Amino acid sequence: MIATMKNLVKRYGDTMALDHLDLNVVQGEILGLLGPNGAGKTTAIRSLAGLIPVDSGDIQVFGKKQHINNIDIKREMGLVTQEITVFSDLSARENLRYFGQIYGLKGADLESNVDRVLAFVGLTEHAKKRPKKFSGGMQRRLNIGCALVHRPKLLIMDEPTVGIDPQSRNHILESVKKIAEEGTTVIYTTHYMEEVQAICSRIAIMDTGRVIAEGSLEELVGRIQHEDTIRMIALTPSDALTDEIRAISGVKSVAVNGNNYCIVSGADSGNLNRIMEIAMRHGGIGNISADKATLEDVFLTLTGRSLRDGEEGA
Amino acid sequence: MTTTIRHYFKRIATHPLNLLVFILLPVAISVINNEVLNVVIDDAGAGGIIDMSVQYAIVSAIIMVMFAFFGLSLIYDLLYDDFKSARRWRLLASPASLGKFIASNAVASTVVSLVSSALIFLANAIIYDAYVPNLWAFGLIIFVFTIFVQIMGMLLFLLIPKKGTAEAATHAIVWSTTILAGNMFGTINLGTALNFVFQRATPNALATNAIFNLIIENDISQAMIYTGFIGIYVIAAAVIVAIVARRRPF
Ligand SMILES: Nc1ncnc2c1ncn2[C@@H]1O[C@H](COP(=O)(O)OP(=O)(O)OP(=O)(O)O)[C@@H](O)[C@H]1O
Ligand SMILES: [Mg+2]
Repeated sequence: MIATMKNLVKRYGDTMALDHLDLNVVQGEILGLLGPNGAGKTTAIRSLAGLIPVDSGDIQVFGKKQHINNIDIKREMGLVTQEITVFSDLSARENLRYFGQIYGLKGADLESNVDRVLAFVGLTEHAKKRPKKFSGGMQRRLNIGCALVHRPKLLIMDEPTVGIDPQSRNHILESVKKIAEEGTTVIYTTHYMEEVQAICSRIAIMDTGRVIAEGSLEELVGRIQHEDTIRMIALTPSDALTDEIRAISGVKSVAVNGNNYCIVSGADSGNLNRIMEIAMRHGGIGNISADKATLEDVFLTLTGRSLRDGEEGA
Repeated sequence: MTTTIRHYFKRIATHPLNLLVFILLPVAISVINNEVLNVVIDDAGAGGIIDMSVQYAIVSAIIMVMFAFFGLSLIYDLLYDDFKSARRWRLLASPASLGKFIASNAVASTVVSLVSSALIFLANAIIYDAYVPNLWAFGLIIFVFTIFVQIMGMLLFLLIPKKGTAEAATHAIVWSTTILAGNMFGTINLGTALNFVFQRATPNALATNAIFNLIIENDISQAMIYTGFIGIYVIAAAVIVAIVARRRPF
């Protein structure tokens, strides 16, 4: 466990920004922190980074107790802010250099790390330019790069892809995977479920200041979904085909309407493959699909609201 | 500490607006003013009686004090940019402390403000041979006043949430005190009490009067007494900043 947050409470006036939050971060993982606007993601991250005091609860990072300004912890941590916070009046290289310097890097070590990060975020050719001349995606990449110069053990990213084009987003998602492969633990905050589905090894869903569900994508989806619905168009439907599908263990019902088959089966039973095999022997398949629940469905089931609800206001 | 000081120095000193306001503009204004002064004195036929270099030095002193006062914005400009925005989280997430950033910025802005004053003086000295009997005493007056201004700029930052408001306040304070002291459009009569406040008691009036005493009267001790009063302002401002900073940690 690289970090743990236990029973955190943080109030802003009447708002419970953190409402007895519990969250563990496992060494080497990409932990997705998913939640709608105002869920408390940023507050959780700031508490973890020792930037704001909490009203109660306990935070441990790298086996040490976190408190405001714990320098030992800060040295090994990197923070990518939700807003772009690079210096627009300094070049990309100067930005990276400064963020390396305030983490204590200097000399050849600093320069080599700056070069490494420039290459990593794909800005080597733009190193001398100022970020005000950059596209939104390039600014986002520099914003991320500034947290990487000192090679943090734990990287916290607060919505690092807000408001950028799909291509830049993919570039960033790939980068995050690479960062994790090199041994950095990553906390990845977002309200885009596609992003956590694409890169996160574990997901914590936050709402109203609490973690309401936690686990791998499969675990989370499996928790709400007990059945798969498989829709198939059989090229030559027959009673024999129907009977054989019905006989598969785990299959709960088979409805036939002309060529259309609708089969309900226990979730993750592997029955999709069995059904395809049988149908191929009985004259072939025109089309087959299985409805899988998504994180969106998980969120909907747990809260009765859509993950996207907050987005209209944003 | 040196890297953060250099960082702030670079950002303050290379900012185009700062270059304009704190270097080009004051130098240009003092040169133009002295040129006008030249013509006026020549017309009056008084060239032989009045010590020209003293008149030049007085003009550059008034301008220097005024622009040193505008140095209020030098100290808070980047503090607003760095600490009243999301960037504060990024900076404070690093092992460097808040105090280190603030102190570095203060050192850098003080240096820039002093360099600005030195350049105004130098420009006048080179072009018009402005003469100051005691350069050390002159430098000390400007230095103490600059320290006061920098601390006051910090106070504006602590008290005012928005940069735009602080800038408006800066203009209001500098222009009103300079004009009411009679250093811009000639003496203005506001009644005994207010006359005393604006002509004698404000920190910039004290600084200007100290310089007059030094240059015109060659009275170093009177100049140093005025400087001592500015020193009292320095201490008072520092105490207020310490109290406000503790009450409203930002
Ligand atoms: N400084 C503050 N003062 C008052 N209320 C705050 C403050 N910071 C956060 N809050 C409130 O705390 C709650 C959680 O906010 P937080 O920024 O942590 O959410 P978030 O999940 O990061 O949302 P977003 O997706 O919009 O970034 C919100 O209701 C917010 O209005
Ligand atoms: Mg947030």
